[in-house]
Amino acid sequence: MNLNLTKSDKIFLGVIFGGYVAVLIYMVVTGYRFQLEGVGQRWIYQLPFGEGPLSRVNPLTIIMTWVVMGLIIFMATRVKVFKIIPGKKQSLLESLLDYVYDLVKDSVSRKEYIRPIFDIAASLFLFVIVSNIIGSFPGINAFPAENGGVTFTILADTWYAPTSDLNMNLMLAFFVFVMSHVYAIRVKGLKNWGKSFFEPIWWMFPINIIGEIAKPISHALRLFGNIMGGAILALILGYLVKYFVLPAALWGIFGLFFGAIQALIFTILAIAYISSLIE
Amino acid sequence: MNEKNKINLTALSTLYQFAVIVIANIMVSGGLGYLLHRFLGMGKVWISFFLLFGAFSGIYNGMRYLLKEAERYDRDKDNDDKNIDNTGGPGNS
Repeated sequence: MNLNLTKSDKIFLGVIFGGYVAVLIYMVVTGYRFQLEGVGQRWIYQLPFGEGPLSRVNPLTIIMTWVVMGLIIFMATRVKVFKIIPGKKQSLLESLLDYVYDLVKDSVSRKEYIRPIFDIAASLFLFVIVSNIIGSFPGINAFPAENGGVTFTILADTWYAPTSDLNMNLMLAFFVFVMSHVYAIRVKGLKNWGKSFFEPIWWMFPINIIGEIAKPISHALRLFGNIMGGAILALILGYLVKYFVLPAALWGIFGLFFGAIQALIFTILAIAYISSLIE
Repeated sequence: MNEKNKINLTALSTLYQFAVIVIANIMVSGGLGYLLHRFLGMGKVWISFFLLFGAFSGIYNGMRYLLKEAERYDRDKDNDDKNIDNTGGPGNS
């Protein structure tokens, strides 16, 4: 295999490698200990007002969501000028988005809705794949401590993927659910859309309602289960063998491979849910 | 591996999706029954009723999904089997 790296690639990889070596040296010098306390628990922050269901936030999800959005925006600014002969980053983006566009084109029968549905699907795909891939690199994570505070772990765990939080996935699935019905109303009209719940016979109404509610639930839980389960499994195995060959490979499998596949499945399902309602 | 023994991933994913639809419907319906029991004080028998109802709904919705997939499969021109006439005509045999 021939690797042709430019000078900037080498600098980029060197900085990342140097950073990991520096943290490793820090851990060896200060006697940093790996610990498995608080695995699967979340750092939850109680907002100063009220006790209601919306008064608690998950700070790490919010922070990492902004980080992922920042990464995507940064990526977009890097390839702002689209050339006829694409560079590396542009080819990567083009091949990814082209694939999503083909998926949308194949499943949406109405021509005028291809572009808006592609926009939704591509945004979801980019967000989910970047956040899943972030979850495959060792980095900083936070767990609640026993006295109510927070413990930050460095390199003992992967970066926190926002998609390993069920709230985020439910929000994304709910967004797809709402958008699919908005498109259905626009295509069929309000009356026909309402009538579609009473098909084939009127007493099928509750069954149709349950079927519709089950869509976002299964949509969200599928992504959550895969990412969260992968994260915990990689963490526990990483704890057992402490940075030998196995966890690195597992991190690669659960983060990069499953992450990319789950992002694709999430996008395909979003397209399928929207297109099945506007046919 | 010859052509016949090859795993058909599309069919596999359709099957998986069918299973997920059934399970999700049972979960949602059962959750609904539990909420009714917990907050409206309805009897526990409603939970089992809603679970059964969810199973029925899941199979119905799953079947609908399978029929839709089959329809799409037939619509796709590349999948046309030359020996079978699925245009609704009298057939070519």
